Amino acid sequence: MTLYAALLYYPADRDPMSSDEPRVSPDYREFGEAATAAGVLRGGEALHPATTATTITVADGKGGDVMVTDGPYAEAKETLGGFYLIEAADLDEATRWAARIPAAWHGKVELRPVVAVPKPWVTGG
Amino acid sequence: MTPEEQLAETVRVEGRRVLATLIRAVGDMQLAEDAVQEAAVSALRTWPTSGVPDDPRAWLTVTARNRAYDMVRREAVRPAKETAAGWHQPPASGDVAEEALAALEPDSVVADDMLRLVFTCCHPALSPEARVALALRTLAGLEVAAIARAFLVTEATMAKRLVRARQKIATAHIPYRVPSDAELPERLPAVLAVVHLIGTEAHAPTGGEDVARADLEAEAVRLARLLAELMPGEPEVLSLLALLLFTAARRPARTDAGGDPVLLADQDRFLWDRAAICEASALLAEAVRRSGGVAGPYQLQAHLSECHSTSPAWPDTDWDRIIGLYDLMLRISPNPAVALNRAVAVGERDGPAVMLEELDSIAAAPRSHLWHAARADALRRLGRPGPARQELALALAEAPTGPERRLLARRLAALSPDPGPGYAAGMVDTSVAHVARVYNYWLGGTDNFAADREAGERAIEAYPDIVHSVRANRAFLGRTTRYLVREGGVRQFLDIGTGIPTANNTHEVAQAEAAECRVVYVDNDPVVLAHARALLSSTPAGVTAYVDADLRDTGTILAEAANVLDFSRPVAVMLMAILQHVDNAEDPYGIVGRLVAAVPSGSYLALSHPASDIEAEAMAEMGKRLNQLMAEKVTFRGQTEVTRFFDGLDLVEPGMVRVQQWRPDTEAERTSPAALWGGVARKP
Repeated sequence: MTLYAALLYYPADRDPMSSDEPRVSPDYREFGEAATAAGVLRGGEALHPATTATTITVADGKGGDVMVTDGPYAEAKETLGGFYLIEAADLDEATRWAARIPAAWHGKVELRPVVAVPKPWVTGG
Repeated sequence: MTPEEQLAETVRVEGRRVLATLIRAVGDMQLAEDAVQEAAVSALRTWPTSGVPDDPRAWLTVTARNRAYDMVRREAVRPAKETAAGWHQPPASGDVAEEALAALEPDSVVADDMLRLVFTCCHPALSPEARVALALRTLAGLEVAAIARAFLVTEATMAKRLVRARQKIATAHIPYRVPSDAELPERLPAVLAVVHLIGTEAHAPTGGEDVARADLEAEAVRLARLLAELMPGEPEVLSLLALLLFTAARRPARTDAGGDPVLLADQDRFLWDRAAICEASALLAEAVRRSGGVAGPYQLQAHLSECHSTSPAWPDTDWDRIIGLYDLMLRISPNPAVALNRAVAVGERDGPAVMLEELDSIAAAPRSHLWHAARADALRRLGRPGPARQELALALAEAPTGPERRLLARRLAALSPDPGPGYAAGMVDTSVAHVARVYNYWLGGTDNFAADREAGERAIEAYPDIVHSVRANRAFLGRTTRYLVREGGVRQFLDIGTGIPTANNTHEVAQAEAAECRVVYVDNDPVVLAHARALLSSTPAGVTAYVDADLRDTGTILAEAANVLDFSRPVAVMLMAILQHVDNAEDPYGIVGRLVAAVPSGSYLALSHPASDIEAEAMAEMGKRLNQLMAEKVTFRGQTEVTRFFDGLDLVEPGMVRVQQWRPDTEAERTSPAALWGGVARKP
């Protein structure tokens, strides 16, 4: 099994979280329930809109000056609005799930295989 | 085939099947590829002396598996693969033949593995370039160097592309399996597209000097045959194979003795490979039977190709059927290339006027060189050689390959009414660098050909600041033009050596300052002139005109310019970076003298000239290189020699200086590196 991050990109003006009353739409609830029932969903979060983003970089590498700028790293027509972690047998299976995420219907979903590294913040298991 | 070729062929064909099975066994494409490669090398080394084994595939299977085992053991960090492959015990190192029999998979399993490999290599999650590279390397077993050559990239680039593709397959877990029947309609087109793309590149290379690539064509046919064998009776596979065979059958007739392309209309049809056409027709008939009346895109294309292949001569072509097939294709998916071909067919049936209408109704931009060439043909047939020439020059400027450019240049030459000095057909020879197009390359333009880019690059190696120099020269042109309108009061310009139009051309600058300015451009490159006619347009008040003439032919220049300019009133003669193409034996001072003599008092001469005494060593080297590669030779001159061009005239401030120092608008302009002398002088 392979773990994939499904990165959800929305057209900047269609980010569901940018509405006055952000809430999880029935389409997302449906996807979440189906993916959980199938045992492929390993996590995920929705993000506040790109207008709330802050970008940090450290000049000259580790220990250098911390540079903080308002806004997302890349200004683009489509912004990162959230992600899921999907565990699937292969890219074909992951693709079938990605196509069911509502973000893919209006924007784009990018699948990236996750690198398996030990996570110090995860205890037990 | 020689015995050596036969041997190599066996290793190649069997090696692919061994690879397909080994990938499934070890679950690592790169490792399996390396192991099979080593086995193949070993086979080619030992078989010529020991003889080809009875079952070459078995021999290769065992050898490759042993190699793979060695590799896994060497990289002990990968125990998972060892387990996966079921190799807890090293295979016996003894009798290879005996072990081989045991290791051999049944043919059906091998076929399934090949099919897995096909669908993995052509997976839609890979880029089209990566799919093509993998198909040729992994499925067809072509050497990396050969694939690199076919796609005009370096071997290192192609190798990197393959490594990246295999890495993506591994890390993103692109599955190694045959899609289910339900998935097949979605996945098969991607596979067919890869093979079709290889066939198209072979049939109509997108670059280089070959009219067609026989080797690549053979690979496309080979891959299509493999698909037909692995997926028997699949109609679109049969149609694709038929299409490739119809096309391949014409190859002997597609090139003339000089290596130039021969169009379908002009081909000697007796040279076509009849056996291949028969096989293709049979395959197509089979595809039609199996497709149940619903023709896929490849079937339509194959029908089209068959229609041409079975027509005894071009005039006998069944244009109604051809146009009907194009209509069907356009209904399935609108496509400007198909629309263009349809327009050409309509032209054959209904004449050039209808063809022209059809061509002009194709909306898609940008217009390809084929569109311009087709339009030129319609215009020529309508008895309009002038616009036809213009279209041909535009086609020529965009045609990507040498053979296509030579064909277009021949047509252009055939249409040229009076090839005078400097406008001989040879000037359109795009295989030799031309000054205007090299200059265009330095300015970052796209109106240049391989030979121009080569000359441009070689010059940049010698004198990297040439790219700044040409920009500084353009800036100088802008500043002098503005000065001449604003402070010199000039409203007439004779700009000799126009170059390919770019931003801020003389007339644009002049007419922005004073709309009534009249500008006559002179150049000797038909490509430049076609561009100038197509792109340079005037303000309603002003006039912009063009003269085809060589700088040396001052008589023609002055006579033609007199149609637009009033030589009793001041004229600015502009000679921007052009006199270096006139060597001392051709009397450059006499040429400038004659031009200046023709204009009245109060006229101006504005001139720039590459310097032999700024960055002397680099400039000399660049000049030497350009003279080796360009049709027109260059002679760079020193400050004293350039100043002589202004003899008898009054230089305006700041005199004859480096162009960047002539009344710069900004500090950046003033300090830009440029090895040109320039000045503006008034005729007293």
